[in-house]
Amino acid sequence: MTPMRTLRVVVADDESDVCLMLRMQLGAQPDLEVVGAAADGSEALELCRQLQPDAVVMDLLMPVMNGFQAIEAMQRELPGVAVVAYTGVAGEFVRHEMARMNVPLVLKSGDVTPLADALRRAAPA
Amino acid sequence: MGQDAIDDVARQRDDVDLLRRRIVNVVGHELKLPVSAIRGLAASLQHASPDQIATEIAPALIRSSARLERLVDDLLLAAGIFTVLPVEPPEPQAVGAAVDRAIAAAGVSVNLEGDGSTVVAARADALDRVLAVLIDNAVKYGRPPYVVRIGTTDGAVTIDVISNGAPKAEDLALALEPFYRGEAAVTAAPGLGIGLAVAAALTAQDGGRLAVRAEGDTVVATVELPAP
Repeated sequence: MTPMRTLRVVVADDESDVCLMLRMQLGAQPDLEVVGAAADGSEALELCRQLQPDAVVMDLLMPVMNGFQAIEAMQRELPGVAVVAYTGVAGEFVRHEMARMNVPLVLKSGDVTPLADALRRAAPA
Repeated sequence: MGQDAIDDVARQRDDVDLLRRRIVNVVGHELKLPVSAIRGLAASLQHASPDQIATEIAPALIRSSARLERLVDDLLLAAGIFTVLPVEPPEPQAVGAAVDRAIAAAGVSVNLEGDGSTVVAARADALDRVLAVLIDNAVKYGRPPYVVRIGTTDGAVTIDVISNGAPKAEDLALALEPFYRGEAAVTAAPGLGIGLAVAAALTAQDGGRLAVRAEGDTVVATVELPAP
């Protein structure tokens, strides 16, 4: 039997309680490991350079460097790291931009099942 | 009614509709973050260790639910519904101590000028909240050095919160309008644009007033409250 692969994930959200929730909930999934947490896009980029995770959960509205800028930088510099955009509400602009950048978009929720599924699809074994 | 008047009414209705949707969208966003965090953190109680619950999850649950509670109060106040204003009477409060609490909560360096032992008549929670809003705004939308200046006039105490970087005249004129967010606010961080409206309502209830003005390249927010 093939052992289950564990996806190494970085989470980026400037809301510390949302970050904690993601660490707890994603970390409880048997095939996901949260290896780092960042509070803005710049930190997320630096963490991904250091840790080379399989995927990153990227909030879009963050200080210093927002998610849109961080995703562009990730795609340019770290194309092997899958990105899932994670946002509270998504208007036409956000939906259009994520589709244009070919980045899956998940709405924030206390149920992380859709996010975990999106991570598995974005960074398949 | 002529065609032009009908077109005007239609345009006004479209403007109001757009504004309504924008406000509900930002309110929804602000409500959703703590609600999602609370739901997810509550679910994680099932598999977290007692140590994680005590040191991380419980404090986060309290923090997020307190944020939600405050948001509901702020929305009511900003909408001009004053049913959540404090019911306690104003009492003498030392301004310096209240300023110190607000500075400590903001975690920034602020120069305090004037006599910190000056006393005003106010509700302690309301005064703390007003100062927190003004210092938070100074830090978010202005530049250091940040200064809090305490002064006295006839029967009243003034507290000025000063930062560098005067906003556009239009943004300044509309600063106290609920849900209005100036250029600096829109580009700095998400938010509802109701902090100053809430602070003005709390100040007015204590018999005072709040004003914001530019002085050269600085912006000065002044709270004036009665002396006891």
